[in-house]
Amino acid sequence: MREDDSQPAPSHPEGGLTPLRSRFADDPEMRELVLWFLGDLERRVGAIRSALDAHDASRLRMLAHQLSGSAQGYGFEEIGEAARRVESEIRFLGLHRKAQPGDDDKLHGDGLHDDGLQNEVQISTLAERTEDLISVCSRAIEGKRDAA
Amino acid sequence: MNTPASATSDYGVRTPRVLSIDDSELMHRLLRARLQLEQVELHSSTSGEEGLRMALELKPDVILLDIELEGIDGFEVLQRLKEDARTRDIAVIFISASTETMDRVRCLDLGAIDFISKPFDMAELKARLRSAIRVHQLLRMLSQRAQLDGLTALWNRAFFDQRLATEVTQSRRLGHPLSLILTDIDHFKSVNDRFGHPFGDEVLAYFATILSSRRATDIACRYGGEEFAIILPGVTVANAAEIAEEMRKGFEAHAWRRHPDLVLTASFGVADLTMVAPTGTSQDLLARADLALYGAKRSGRNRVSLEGVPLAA
Repeated sequence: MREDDSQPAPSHPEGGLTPLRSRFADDPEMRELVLWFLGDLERRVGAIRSALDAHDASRLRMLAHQLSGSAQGYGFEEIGEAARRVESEIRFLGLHRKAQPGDDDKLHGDGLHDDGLQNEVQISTLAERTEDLISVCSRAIEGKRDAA
Repeated sequence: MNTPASATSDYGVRTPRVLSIDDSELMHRLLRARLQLEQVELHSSTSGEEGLRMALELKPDVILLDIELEGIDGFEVLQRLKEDARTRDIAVIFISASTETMDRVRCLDLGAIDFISKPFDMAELKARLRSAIRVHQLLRMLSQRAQLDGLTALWNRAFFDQRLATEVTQSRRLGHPLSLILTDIDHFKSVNDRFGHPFGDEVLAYFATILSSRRATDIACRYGGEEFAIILPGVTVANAAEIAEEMRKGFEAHAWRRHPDLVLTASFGVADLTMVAPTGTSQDLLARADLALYGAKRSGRNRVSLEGVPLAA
Protein backbone atom coordinates (compact mmCIF):
# COMPACT_ATOMS: atom_id res chain seq x y z
CA MET A 1 0.00 0.00 0.00
CA ARG A 2 1.23 3.44 -0.84
CA GLU A 3 1.18 5.81 2.08
CA ASP A 4 -0.10 9.33 1.85
CA ASP A 5 2.78 11.62 1.06
CA SER A 6 0.95 14.90 0.83
CA GLN A 7 2.76 16.42 3.79
CA PRO A 8 4.23 19.78 2.81
CA ALA A 9 7.98 20.20 2.69
CA PRO A 10 9.40 22.37 5.48
CA SER A 11 9.67 26.00 4.60
CA HIS A 12 13.09 27.54 4.11
CA PRO A 13 12.73 31.22 4.84
CA GLU A 14 15.18 33.37 2.93
CA GLY A 15 16.86 30.29 1.57
CA GLY A 16 18.25 29.24 5.00
CA LEU A 17 17.19 26.26 7.10
CA THR A 18 14.78 26.54 10.00
CA PRO A 19 16.67 24.91 12.86
CA LEU A 20 14.92 21.95 14.41
CA ARG A 21 15.13 21.28 18.14
CA SER A 22 14.69 18.00 19.94
CA ARG A 23 11.61 17.68 22.07
CA PHE A 24 14.03 16.63 24.79
CA ALA A 25 16.52 19.48 24.27
CA ASP A 26 15.78 20.85 27.73
CA ASP A 27 15.67 17.48 29.47
CA PRO A 28 18.95 17.22 31.41
CA GLU A 29 18.74 13.42 31.41
CA MET A 30 18.60 13.36 27.60
CA ARG A 31 20.83 16.31 26.67
CA GLU A 32 24.04 14.37 26.21
CA LEU A 33 22.27 11.58 24.35
CA VAL A 34 20.63 14.04 21.95
CA LEU A 35 24.02 15.59 21.23
CA TRP A 36 25.45 12.16 20.49
CA PHE A 37 22.51 11.47 18.17
CA LEU A 38 23.15 14.72 16.29
CA GLY A 39 26.81 13.78 15.88
CA ASP A 40 25.74 10.44 14.42
CA LEU A 41 23.24 12.27 12.23
CA GLU A 42 25.96 14.42 10.64
CA ARG A 43 27.83 11.30 9.50
CA ARG A 44 24.58 9.61 8.55
CA VAL A 45 23.47 12.44 6.25
CA GLY A 46 26.74 12.01 4.35
CA ALA A 47 26.12 8.27 4.09
CA ILE A 48 22.53 8.80 2.91
CA ARG A 49 23.76 11.22 0.28
CA SER A 50 26.33 8.74 -1.06
CA ALA A 51 23.82 5.87 -1.01
CA LEU A 52 21.45 7.99 -3.08
CA ASP A 53 24.18 9.01 -5.50
CA ALA A 54 25.31 5.40 -5.81
CA HIS A 55 21.69 4.22 -6.26
CA ASP A 56 22.30 1.77 -3.44
CA ALA A 57 18.72 1.08 -2.32
CA SER A 58 19.70 -1.55 0.22
CA ARG A 59 22.01 0.79 2.08
CA LEU A 60 19.58 3.66 1.82
CA ARG A 61 16.85 1.48 3.27
CA MET A 62 19.06 0.43 6.19
CA LEU A 63 20.09 4.00 7.00
CA ALA A 64 16.49 5.20 6.84
CA HIS A 65 15.18 2.20 8.76
CA GLN A 66 17.45 2.87 11.71
CA LEU A 67 16.25 6.47 11.83
CA SER A 68 12.59 5.63 11.43
CA GLY A 69 12.71 3.41 14.47
CA SER A 70 14.64 5.63 16.81
CA ALA A 71 14.50 9.32 15.82
CA GLN A 72 11.30 9.86 17.77
CA GLY A 73 13.01 8.50 20.84
CA TYR A 74 15.55 11.30 20.54
CA GLY A 75 12.77 13.85 20.22
CA PHE A 76 12.80 14.28 16.44
CA GLU A 77 9.41 13.11 15.18
CA GLU A 78 9.92 14.91 11.85
CA ILE A 79 13.07 12.92 11.11
CA GLY A 80 11.32 9.64 11.93
CA GLU A 81 8.44 10.57 9.64
CA ALA A 82 10.72 11.55 6.75
CA ALA A 83 12.73 8.34 7.18
CA ARG A 84 9.55 6.26 7.14
CA ARG A 85 8.50 7.87 3.86
CA VAL A 86 11.83 6.88 2.32
CA GLU A 87 11.51 3.35 3.69
CA SER A 88 7.96 2.88 2.44
CA GLU A 89 8.91 4.13 -1.01
CA ILE A 90 11.73 1.59 -1.25
CA ARG A 91 9.36 -1.13 -0.10
CA PHE A 92 6.78 0.06 -2.66
CA LEU A 93 9.37 -0.11 -5.41
CA GLY A 94 10.15 -3.66 -4.35
CA LEU A 95 13.81 -2.89 -3.74
CA HIS A 96 13.91 -4.08 -0.17
CA ARG A 97 14.51 -7.73 -0.91
CA LYS A 98 17.21 -9.13 1.32
CA ALA A 99 20.41 -10.27 -0.31
CA GLN A 100 20.52 -14.04 -0.76
CA PRO A 101 23.66 -16.17 -0.80
CA GLY A 102 25.12 -15.99 -4.26
CA ASP A 103 23.64 -12.60 -5.01
CA ASP A 104 25.92 -10.03 -6.43
CA ASP A 105 26.67 -7.45 -3.77
CA LYS A 106 25.47 -4.65 -5.94
CA LEU A 107 22.17 -6.33 -6.75
CA HIS A 108 20.12 -3.78 -4.91
CA GLY A 109 21.89 -0.93 -6.55
CA ASP A 110 21.45 -2.51 -9.95
CA GLY A 111 17.82 -3.14 -9.08
CA LEU A 112 17.39 0.52 -8.52
CA HIS A 113 18.92 1.28 -11.90
CA ASP A 114 16.80 -1.30 -13.68
CA ASP A 115 13.59 -0.23 -12.05
CA GLY A 116 14.60 3.33 -12.53
CA LEU A 117 14.56 2.86 -16.28
CA GLN A 118 11.00 1.63 -16.11
CA ASN A 119 9.72 3.79 -13.29
CA GLU A 120 11.27 7.16 -13.65
CA VAL A 121 8.44 8.80 -11.77
CA GLN A 122 8.83 6.49 -8.80
CA ILE A 123 12.57 6.85 -8.71
CA SER A 124 12.24 10.57 -8.72
CA THR A 125 9.75 10.24 -5.86
CA LEU A 126 12.33 8.26 -3.89
CA ALA A 127 15.01 10.83 -4.67
CA GLU A 128 12.64 13.58 -3.59
CA ARG A 129 11.79 11.86 -0.33
CA THR A 130 15.45 11.22 0.36
CA GLU A 131 16.19 14.91 -0.24
CA ASP A 132 13.41 15.74 2.21
CA LEU A 133 14.99 13.44 4.78
CA ILE A 134 18.41 15.01 4.26
CA SER A 135 16.87 18.42 4.58
CA VAL A 136 15.07 17.70 7.84
CA CYS A 137 18.23 16.09 9.25
CA SER A 138 20.22 19.15 8.24
CA ARG A 139 17.77 21.35 10.12
CA ALA A 140 18.32 19.28 13.24
CA ILE A 141 22.10 19.57 12.82
CA GLU A 142 21.63 23.32 12.36
CA GLY A 143 19.75 23.34 15.68
CA LYS A 144 22.76 21.74 17.35
CA ARG A 145 25.02 24.53 16.09
CA ASP A 146 22.56 27.06 17.46
CA ALA A 147 22.61 25.37 20.83
CA ALA A 148 26.39 25.16 20.96
CA MET B 1 4.40 -24.21 52.62
CA ASN B 2 7.87 -23.29 53.65
CA THR B 3 10.09 -22.72 50.64
CA PRO B 4 13.78 -23.35 51.25
CA ALA B 5 16.13 -20.45 50.73
CA SER B 6 17.99 -22.50 48.16
CA ALA B 7 14.90 -22.76 46.01
CA THR B 8 14.17 -19.05 45.97
CA SER B 9 17.66 -17.68 45.60
CA ASP B 10 17.96 -18.59 41.93
CA TYR B 11 15.13 -16.39 40.82
CA GLY B 12 14.41 -14.17 43.78
CA VAL B 13 17.66 -12.24 43.96
CA ARG B 14 18.76 -11.83 40.36
CA THR B 15 18.10 -8.53 38.62
CA PRO B 16 16.01 -9.22 35.52
CA ARG B 17 18.25 -9.47 32.48
CA VAL B 18 17.19 -7.97 29.15
CA LEU B 19 18.92 -8.51 25.81
CA SER B 20 18.21 -6.07 23.01
CA ILE B 21 18.90 -7.30 19.46
CA ASP B 22 18.79 -4.42 16.98
CA ASP B 23 21.18 -3.54 14.18
CA SER B 24 21.24 0.11 15.15
CA GLU B 25 23.38 1.65 17.84
CA LEU B 26 20.83 4.49 17.82
CA MET B 27 18.33 2.11 19.42
CA HIS B 28 20.76 0.63 21.93
CA ARG B 29 21.87 4.01 23.27
CA LEU B 30 18.30 5.14 23.57
CA LEU B 31 17.26 2.04 25.49
CA ARG B 32 20.27 2.27 27.77
CA ALA B 33 19.43 5.87 28.66
CA ARG B 34 15.73 5.29 29.05
CA LEU B 35 15.94 2.06 31.01
CA GLN B 36 18.72 3.09 33.37
CA LEU B 37 16.27 3.73 36.18
CA GLU B 38 14.44 0.45 35.66
CA GLN B 39 15.59 -2.50 37.72
CA VAL B 40 17.03 -4.35 34.72
CA GLU B 41 20.43 -5.39 33.48
CA LEU B 42 20.54 -4.42 29.80
CA HIS B 43 22.74 -6.08 27.19
CA SER B 44 22.87 -5.23 23.48
CA SER B 45 23.67 -7.06 20.31
CA THR B 46 23.72 -5.68 16.80
CA SER B 47 23.14 -8.89 14.84
CA GLY B 48 20.99 -11.99 14.96
CA GLU B 49 23.95 -14.39 15.07
CA GLU B 50 25.62 -12.55 17.93
CA GLY B 51 22.26 -12.17 19.67
CA LEU B 52 21.73 -15.95 19.63
CA ARG B 53 25.18 -16.53 21.12
CA MET B 54 24.53 -13.96 23.84
CA ALA B 55 21.11 -15.46 24.59
CA LEU B 56 22.76 -18.82 25.31
CA GLU B 57 25.43 -17.27 27.45
CA LEU B 58 23.39 -14.71 29.39
CA LYS B 59 20.09 -16.58 29.74
CA PRO B 60 18.13 -13.31 29.71
CA ASP B 61 14.58 -13.08 31.03
CA VAL B 62 13.47 -11.01 28.06
CA ILE B 63 14.77 -10.36 24.55
CA LEU B 64 13.76 -7.22 22.67
CA LEU B 65 14.05 -8.34 19.07
CA ASP B 66 13.98 -6.21 15.94
CA ILE B 67 12.51 -7.99 12.90
CA GLU B 68 14.61 -6.25 10.30
CA LEU B 69 18.19 -7.29 10.94
CA GLU B 70 21.06 -7.65 8.52
CA GLY B 71 22.00 -11.32 8.03
CA ILE B 72 19.48 -13.62 9.68
CA ASP B 73 16.31 -11.68 10.43
CA GLY B 74 14.21 -11.47 13.57
CA PHE B 75 11.82 -14.24 12.50
CA GLU B 76 14.68 -16.66 12.13
CA VAL B 77 16.27 -15.59 15.41
CA LEU B 78 12.97 -16.24 17.16
CA GLN B 79 12.61 -19.63 15.49
CA ARG B 80 16.09 -20.70 16.57
CA LEU B 81 15.50 -19.49 20.12
CA LYS B 82 12.35 -21.59 20.29
CA GLU B 83 14.03 -24.68 18.80
CA ASP B 84 16.72 -24.75 21.49
CA ALA B 85 15.60 -26.06 24.88
CA ARG B 86 18.13 -23.81 26.59
CA THR B 87 16.62 -20.61 25.19
CA ARG B 88 13.02 -21.69 24.60
CA ASP B 89 11.62 -20.11 27.75
CA ILE B 90 13.04 -16.64 27.19
CA ALA B 91 10.22 -14.13 26.70
CA VAL B 92 10.67 -12.46 23.32
CA ILE B 93 9.14 -9.08 22.53
CA PHE B 94 9.22 -8.13 18.88
CA ILE B 95 9.94 -4.54 18.01
CA SER B 96 9.23 -3.59 14.47
CA ALA B 97 8.32 -0.72 12.22
CA SER B 98 5.98 -3.05 10.43
CA THR B 99 2.29 -2.36 10.89
CA GLU B 100 1.24 -5.37 8.82
CA THR B 101 -1.18 -7.59 10.69
CA MET B 102 0.34 -10.70 9.12
CA ASP B 103 3.76 -9.89 10.57
CA ARG B 104 2.23 -9.60 14.02
CA VAL B 105 0.35 -12.83 13.61
CA ARG B 106 3.49 -14.59 12.45
CA CYS B 107 5.50 -13.30 15.41
CA LEU B 108 2.95 -14.44 17.93
CA ASP B 109 2.53 -17.80 16.19
CA LEU B 110 6.27 -18.33 16.35
CA GLY B 111 6.12 -17.86 20.10
CA ALA B 112 6.79 -14.18 20.75
CA ILE B 113 5.11 -12.98 23.90
CA ASP B 114 4.40 -9.44 22.69
CA PHE B 115 4.79 -7.03 19.82
CA ILE B 116 5.67 -3.33 19.91
CA SER B 117 5.56 -1.03 16.89
CA LYS B 118 8.31 1.42 16.12
CA PRO B 119 8.42 4.26 16.83
CA PHE B 120 7.32 3.39 20.31
CA ASP B 121 6.47 5.34 23.37
CA MET B 122 8.96 4.72 26.17
CA ALA B 123 6.26 4.43 28.82
CA GLU B 124 4.60 1.70 26.74
CA LEU B 125 7.87 -0.14 26.21
CA LYS B 126 8.62 -0.07 29.93
CA ALA B 127 5.16 -1.34 30.82
CA ARG B 128 5.36 -4.20 28.31
CA LEU B 129 8.87 -5.05 29.41
CA ARG B 130 7.82 -5.25 33.07
CA SER B 131 4.90 -7.45 32.16
CA ALA B 132 7.12 -9.82 30.15
CA ILE B 133 9.62 -10.03 33.02
CA ARG B 134 6.81 -10.92 35.43
CA VAL B 135 5.51 -13.67 33.18
CA HIS B 136 8.97 -15.08 32.61
CA GLN B 137 9.84 -15.16 36.30
CA LEU B 138 6.58 -16.92 37.09
CA LEU B 139 7.31 -19.53 34.43
CA ARG B 140 10.77 -20.06 35.80
CA MET B 141 9.36 -20.45 39.28
CA LEU B 142 6.85 -23.03 38.02
CA SER B 143 9.53 -25.10 36.35
CA GLN B 144 11.53 -25.02 39.57
CA ARG B 145 8.48 -26.08 41.53
CA ALA B 146 8.42 -29.24 39.45
CA GLN B 147 11.80 -30.04 40.98
CA LEU B 148 10.60 -29.53 44.51
CA ASP B 149 9.35 -32.16 46.89
CA GLY B 150 5.68 -31.51 47.61
CA LEU B 151 5.70 -32.37 51.32
CA THR B 152 8.88 -30.67 52.48
CA ALA B 153 9.37 -28.08 49.71
CA LEU B 154 13.00 -29.16 49.51
CA TRP B 155 14.57 -30.00 46.15
CA ASN B 156 13.70 -33.50 44.98
CA ARG B 157 15.94 -36.41 44.03
CA ALA B 158 16.06 -35.60 40.33
CA PHE B 159 17.26 -32.10 41.06
CA PHE B 160 19.75 -33.37 43.63
CA ASP B 161 21.46 -35.79 41.26
CA GLN B 162 21.88 -33.15 38.61
CA ARG B 163 22.96 -30.44 41.01
CA LEU B 164 25.51 -32.55 42.85
CA ALA B 165 27.19 -33.40 39.56
CA THR B 166 27.33 -29.71 38.64
CA GLU B 167 28.72 -28.73 42.02
CA VAL B 168 31.41 -31.40 41.90
CA THR B 169 32.59 -30.21 38.49
CA GLN B 170 32.53 -26.58 39.53
CA SER B 171 34.30 -27.06 42.86
CA ARG B 172 37.05 -29.07 41.14
CA ARG B 173 37.51 -26.37 38.54
CA LEU B 174 37.69 -23.58 41.10
CA GLY B 175 39.62 -25.63 43.65
CA HIS B 176 36.94 -24.95 46.27
CA PRO B 177 35.91 -27.38 49.01
CA LEU B 178 32.59 -29.18 48.68
CA SER B 179 30.86 -31.20 51.37
CA LEU B 180 27.87 -33.48 51.39
CA ILE B 181 25.71 -34.43 54.37
CA LEU B 182 23.41 -37.45 54.17
CA THR B 183 20.95 -37.84 57.01
CA ASP B 184 18.20 -40.22 57.98
CA ILE B 185 15.59 -40.00 60.76
CA ASP B 186 16.16 -42.80 63.26
CA HIS B 187 13.43 -45.48 63.54
CA PHE B 188 11.15 -43.47 61.31
CA LYS B 189 9.09 -46.51 60.35
CA SER B 190 8.04 -47.06 63.93
CA VAL B 191 7.03 -43.35 64.21
CA ASN B 192 4.65 -43.90 61.32
CA ASP B 193 3.42 -47.21 62.80
CA ARG B 194 2.85 -45.80 66.28
CA PHE B 195 1.50 -42.32 65.55
CA GLY B 196 0.15 -42.59 62.02
CA HIS B 197 1.23 -41.12 58.70
CA PRO B 198 -0.10 -37.58 59.25
CA PHE B 199 2.26 -37.24 62.20
CA GLY B 200 5.03 -38.86 60.20
CA ASP B 201 4.54 -36.17 57.55
CA GLU B 202 4.73 -33.50 60.23
CA VAL B 203 8.05 -34.94 61.40
CA LEU B 204 9.45 -34.94 57.87
CA ALA B 205 8.32 -31.35 57.26
CA TYR B 206 9.87 -30.16 60.52
CA PHE B 207 13.14 -31.99 59.87
CA ALA B 208 13.25 -30.29 56.45
CA THR B 209 13.01 -26.83 58.03
CA ILE B 210 16.01 -27.63 60.23
CA LEU B 211 18.03 -28.80 57.23
CA SER B 212 17.20 -25.79 55.08
CA SER B 213 17.43 -23.00 57.63
CA ARG B 214 21.12 -22.32 57.07
CA ARG B 215 22.97 -20.37 54.36
CA ALA B 216 21.17 -19.72 51.08
CA THR B 217 24.02 -21.43 49.21
CA ASP B 218 23.40 -24.80 50.89
CA ILE B 219 21.22 -27.06 48.82
CA ALA B 220 18.91 -29.22 50.90
CA CYS B 221 17.14 -32.08 49.12
CA ARG B 222 14.76 -34.87 50.04
CA TYR B 223 16.69 -37.87 48.82
CA GLY B 224 13.80 -40.27 49.34
CA GLY B 225 11.56 -41.45 52.20
CA GLU B 226 13.06 -40.21 55.45
CA GLU B 227 16.50 -39.70 53.93
CA PHE B 228 17.82 -36.23 53.12
CA ALA B 229 20.94 -34.72 51.56
CA ILE B 230 22.54 -31.30 51.90
CA ILE B 231 25.11 -30.10 49.39
CA LEU B 232 27.46 -27.52 50.95
CA PRO B 233 29.57 -25.69 48.37
CA GLY B 234 32.65 -23.99 49.79
CA VAL B 235 32.48 -25.92 53.10
CA THR B 236 35.20 -28.29 54.35
CA VAL B 237 34.32 -31.63 55.90
CA ALA B 238 35.26 -30.38 59.41
CA ASN B 239 32.84 -27.47 59.13
CA ALA B 240 30.19 -29.65 57.55
CA ALA B 241 30.46 -32.03 60.53
CA GLU B 242 29.87 -29.08 62.90
CA ILE B 243 26.88 -27.99 60.88
CA ALA B 244 25.50 -31.54 60.96
CA GLU B 245 26.01 -31.65 64.71
CA GLU B 246 23.95 -28.44 65.10
CA MET B 247 21.20 -29.99 63.02
CA ARG B 248 21.32 -33.19 65.05
CA LYS B 249 21.00 -31.26 68.34
CA GLY B 250 18.23 -29.07 67.00
CA PHE B 251 16.15 -32.05 65.92
CA GLU B 252 16.70 -34.00 69.11
CA ALA B 253 15.69 -30.99 71.24
CA HIS B 254 12.39 -30.43 69.47
CA ALA B 255 9.26 -30.79 71.63
CA TRP B 256 6.45 -32.42 69.66
CA ARG B 257 3.24 -30.64 70.54
CA ARG B 258 0.95 -33.66 70.30
CA HIS B 259 3.44 -36.11 71.85
CA PRO B 260 5.32 -34.17 74.55
CA ASP B 261 7.31 -37.16 75.78
CA LEU B 262 8.53 -38.21 72.38
CA VAL B 263 12.20 -37.69 71.49
CA LEU B 264 13.15 -38.17 67.86
CA THR B 265 16.67 -38.29 66.54
CA ALA B 266 18.54 -38.54 63.27
CA SER B 267 21.89 -39.89 62.08
CA PHE B 268 24.30 -37.98 59.84
CA GLY B 269 27.05 -39.04 57.47
CA VAL B 270 29.47 -36.39 56.16
CA ALA B 271 32.00 -36.50 53.32
CA ASP B 272 33.84 -34.01 51.17
CA LEU B 273 35.62 -33.93 47.84
CA THR B 274 39.07 -34.53 49.36
CA MET B 275 37.86 -38.03 50.29
CA VAL B 276 37.30 -39.13 46.71
CA ALA B 277 39.85 -39.64 43.99
CA PRO B 278 40.61 -36.62 41.77
CA THR B 279 38.76 -38.36 38.97
CA GLY B 280 35.87 -39.45 41.21
CA THR B 281 32.32 -38.54 40.28
CA SER B 282 29.43 -37.15 42.27
CA GLN B 283 28.34 -40.76 42.74
CA ASP B 284 31.64 -41.51 44.49
CA LEU B 285 31.10 -38.58 46.85
CA LEU B 286 27.58 -39.80 47.52
CA ALA B 287 28.92 -43.31 48.25
CA ARG B 288 31.39 -41.88 50.80
CA ALA B 289 28.66 -39.94 52.58
CA ASP B 290 26.43 -43.01 52.52
CA LEU B 291 29.20 -45.09 54.06
CA ALA B 292 29.59 -42.49 56.82
CA LEU B 293 25.83 -42.53 57.44
CA TYR B 294 25.94 -46.29 57.68
CA GLY B 295 28.73 -45.90 60.25
CA ALA B 296 26.58 -43.53 62.32
CA LYS B 297 23.66 -45.95 62.24
CA ARG B 298 25.75 -48.99 63.07
CA SER B 299 27.44 -47.35 66.03
CA GLY B 300 24.20 -46.45 67.78
CA ARG B 301 22.38 -43.74 65.77
CA ASN B 302 21.73 -40.11 66.79
CA ARG B 303 25.25 -39.06 65.84
CA VAL B 304 27.40 -37.54 63.14
CA SER B 305 30.05 -39.63 61.48
CA LEU B 306 32.78 -39.20 58.90
CA GLU B 307 34.19 -41.91 56.69
CA GLY B 308 32.29 -44.68 58.39
CA VAL B 309 33.90 -43.74 61.72
CA PRO B 310 31.64 -42.13 64.30
CA LEU B 311 32.85 -38.90 65.91
CA ALA B 312 33.43 -39.03 69.63
CA ALA B 313 30.13 -38.13 71.27
